[in-house]
Amino acid sequence: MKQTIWARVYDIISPYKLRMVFSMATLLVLTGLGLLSPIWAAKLLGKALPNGDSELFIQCIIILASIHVLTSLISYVYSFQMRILGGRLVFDLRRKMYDHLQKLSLGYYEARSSGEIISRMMNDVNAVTSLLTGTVLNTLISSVKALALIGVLFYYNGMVATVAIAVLPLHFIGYFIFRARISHLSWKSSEKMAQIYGKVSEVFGAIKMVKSHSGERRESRSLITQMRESYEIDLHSGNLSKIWGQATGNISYVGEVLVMLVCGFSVLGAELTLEEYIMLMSYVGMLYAPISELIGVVQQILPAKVGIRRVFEVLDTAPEVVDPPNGFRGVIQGKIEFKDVSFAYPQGDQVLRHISFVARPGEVVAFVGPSGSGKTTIANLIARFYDREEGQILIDGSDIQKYQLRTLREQTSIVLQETYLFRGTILDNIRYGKPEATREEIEIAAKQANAHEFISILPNGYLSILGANGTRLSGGQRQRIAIARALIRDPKILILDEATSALDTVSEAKVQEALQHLMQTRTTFVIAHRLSTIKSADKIVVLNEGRVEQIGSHDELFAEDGLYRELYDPEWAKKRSKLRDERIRRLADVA
Amino acid sequence: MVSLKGNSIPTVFDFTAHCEPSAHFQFSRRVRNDFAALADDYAQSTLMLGSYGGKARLQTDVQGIGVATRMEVGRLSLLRGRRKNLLQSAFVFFREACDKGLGSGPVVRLLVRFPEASDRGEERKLIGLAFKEAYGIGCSFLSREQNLLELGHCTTYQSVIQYLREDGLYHSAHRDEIEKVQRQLHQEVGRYENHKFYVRPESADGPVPKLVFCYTGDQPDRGVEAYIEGYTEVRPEFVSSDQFQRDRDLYVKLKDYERASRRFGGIWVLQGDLVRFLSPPQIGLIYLFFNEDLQPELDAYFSWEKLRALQERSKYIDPSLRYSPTFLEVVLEGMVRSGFLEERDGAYRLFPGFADYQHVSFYELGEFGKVNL
Repeated sequence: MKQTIWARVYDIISPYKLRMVFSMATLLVLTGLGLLSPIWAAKLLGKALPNGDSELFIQCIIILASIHVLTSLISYVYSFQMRILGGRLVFDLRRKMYDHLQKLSLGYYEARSSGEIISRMMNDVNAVTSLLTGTVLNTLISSVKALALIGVLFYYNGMVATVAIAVLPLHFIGYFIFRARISHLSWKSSEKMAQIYGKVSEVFGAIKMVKSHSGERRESRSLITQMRESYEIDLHSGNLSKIWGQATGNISYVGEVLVMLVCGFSVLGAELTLEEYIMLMSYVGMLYAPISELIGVVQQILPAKVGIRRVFEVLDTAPEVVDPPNGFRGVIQGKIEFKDVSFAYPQGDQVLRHISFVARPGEVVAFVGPSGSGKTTIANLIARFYDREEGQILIDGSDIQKYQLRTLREQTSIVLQETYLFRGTILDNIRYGKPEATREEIEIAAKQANAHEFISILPNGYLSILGANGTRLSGGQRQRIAIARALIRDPKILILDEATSALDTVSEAKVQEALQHLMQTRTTFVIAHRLSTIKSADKIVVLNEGRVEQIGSHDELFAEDGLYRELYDPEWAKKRSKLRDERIRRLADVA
Repeated sequence: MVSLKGNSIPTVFDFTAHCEPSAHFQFSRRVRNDFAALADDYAQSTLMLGSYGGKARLQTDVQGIGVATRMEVGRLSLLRGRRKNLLQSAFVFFREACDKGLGSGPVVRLLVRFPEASDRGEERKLIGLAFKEAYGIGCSFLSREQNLLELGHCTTYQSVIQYLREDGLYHSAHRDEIEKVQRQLHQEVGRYENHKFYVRPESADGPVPKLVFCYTGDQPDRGVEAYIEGYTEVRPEFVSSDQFQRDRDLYVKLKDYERASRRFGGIWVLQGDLVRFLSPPQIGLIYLFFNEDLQPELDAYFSWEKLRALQERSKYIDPSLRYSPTFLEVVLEGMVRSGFLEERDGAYRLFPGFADYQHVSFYELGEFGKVNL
């Protein structure tokens, strides 16, 4: 059964039900106290002063002062409760979103900018919280207050009450006129902010590239345009809200004038006393205040509702890769088998076509092929960043989808071409692969990765702080830290995706040496363009346009007339292609 | 927004046109002013009821280094008789704005939002007519949400039942040949630039249809035939332009055949004028309503228990989902909502019009030959 948005909101606040009830009770008391004031103010102005009753005068003053003090105290308690409630809701929602976001598949992140995701987690959660802690309670209280005041007015004078509520339908017309526009503008405002966040984070992430291409002005201009639009949307939305607010105020004023006329003529006709006139006018004034508040609340609800939707949109996004509840948890031996595996993005081009191969434990399997041939997609499928569309991927004879994701990923390490190092010490960066690793284990891993030597020379050794991207280290050094991070986990499956392609020959030699250690006792998949990197692989899978063209060792493949030789022997490839073209041209000429 | 379902009730139609992003587009003062002037000419009051209002607004979205413009406009229809012209004025406005260079590029996506849009065929028909009169081409509607439709084009392949049984003219057995030829055409663009390549599927005795590769042009080119045959082992047949035009319906683009013959991923399904996406788990579930000979049991109701039992045995449902009642419940609920199944007293059957549903490819406006609206 599908839950409504408000039922889901209730689920969020249900752990704090008691606190909410308490806050509501304090608000009700505040409302009740508010209803008492006009009675005593009317007595003061309509009875005590005209009649010169000093005892009643003092009594009125004391009671009005007491009401004021009590109201202040209860208001403080109420706002204190609201602060606690607001803080906890923000905390809960952000935690929930963060946990959920981390479960989402790679595809989700590839389709969105990080700024957009951050904006949802920070701005929209705030909107939801302000709605729940402020707006919802205010709505309830304003409604109760309005109903109580209408009741009080009818109790004292039915005619005045009827005149007072006669203008209320005008408020509903205002609501219908403004609601959709303001709601839509709120959505656009949030969207625009998310785009601005996204743009800023993208530009700062690529600041080197932006500077080197003298793109600063262009980027500034682009951001200014977006900020101007954001400003215009907010201005437009603010204007509409203001117009709505003014219209609401004017409608209330018309109501008050009408009541003033009716009551005034009644006083002149001696049907009402002055005291009753003052009291009724105060109540009518008070009646329009909660109505205006309710309208104001609606104005707050609209943007907050947009925020709620954006938050739920994230929470409702189901991970494309589903973790089986009772998945296998044991140790993986490392036999990987692809059986007729195909993969494509919905309505997109097919990336893999009927891929079949077997990698036995301890084997090194290399994937080679032109760009876009599907090498990295295979690596992504092995790590289960995506799920295959067709065929089977077996690990130790069982379907990969039967393994618990955590089990699979704990025993898989990936070293990518672009190394990401977190801001922190080298020690912590290596330990990221295995949080419980001891200092000794870290140093062993660093030695095997050929990283210990340069780390030791640094002034603070393993405790040296790295920048957001380890900018103080060279590409080769960063790569070796990444290898140490992969090595410390002792993975059963290792994927090296162009791990050395960006390095110079000296760095590559060192990294290669480190990789030899790493590949000894596990199933290793190597994606590389350089022949030196894959020559010693047990098996080379040659891919072309998502298809396996050849499989074999380097010597076998080099001896064959195929794509592998074409890739690594350009002279031969050129000659072969020429011969083939000539043969076909001759055929064409004959035809 | 007025959200009453009846056709004679005032309705607000909110249109959004997304233009192709461009890294060179600048949202300059000239663009702003010209757009505002044009928007004034086409303004129609919506009494503020619509999301965007009756006067068009221009927004931009940053998409990487490109800027994409978005035009938004609302149309309030108080009387049914005025609807078509009102709707048409929005389309004409978009076209004129693009013609004047006020967008970042041609319109690539067009969306319309109104209450219960997916259930209101009358209104869709009017929008379709207005679109046709404004642009001279027809359109289909992709149901994105209950209240939101996307306008685009469909290429119809076969009935959904034919797809499910794989006994239509599109068969996966030909995928290898298709891909080989496609690869060759992409690799040697210059060599084949004077010709267009198609396939002509023909029924054959047996389950696999016959596929004839064809090319069109002014005259036969034996060289092209030899090259294609030399590299792909497929010999294309020449079809003169006249004959091609005469029998246009018999020929299918290679790309369309490749898409239609896929046996992986989801499919687009045309229900009347409305396109909905059937995801792989939903396709697997539809097979539960087919008998062992893959004949659909169109009138039979299937109880929940029966479906559960079939689910566990079905080879069309992913092994990891075969034993999940939650999967069955969620997918059934979604398919009833989207008009693929019908529910009565907790039992389900294929929707009465299911046999007429078509397997199609939905193309956004921009994707469909880069139509410059």
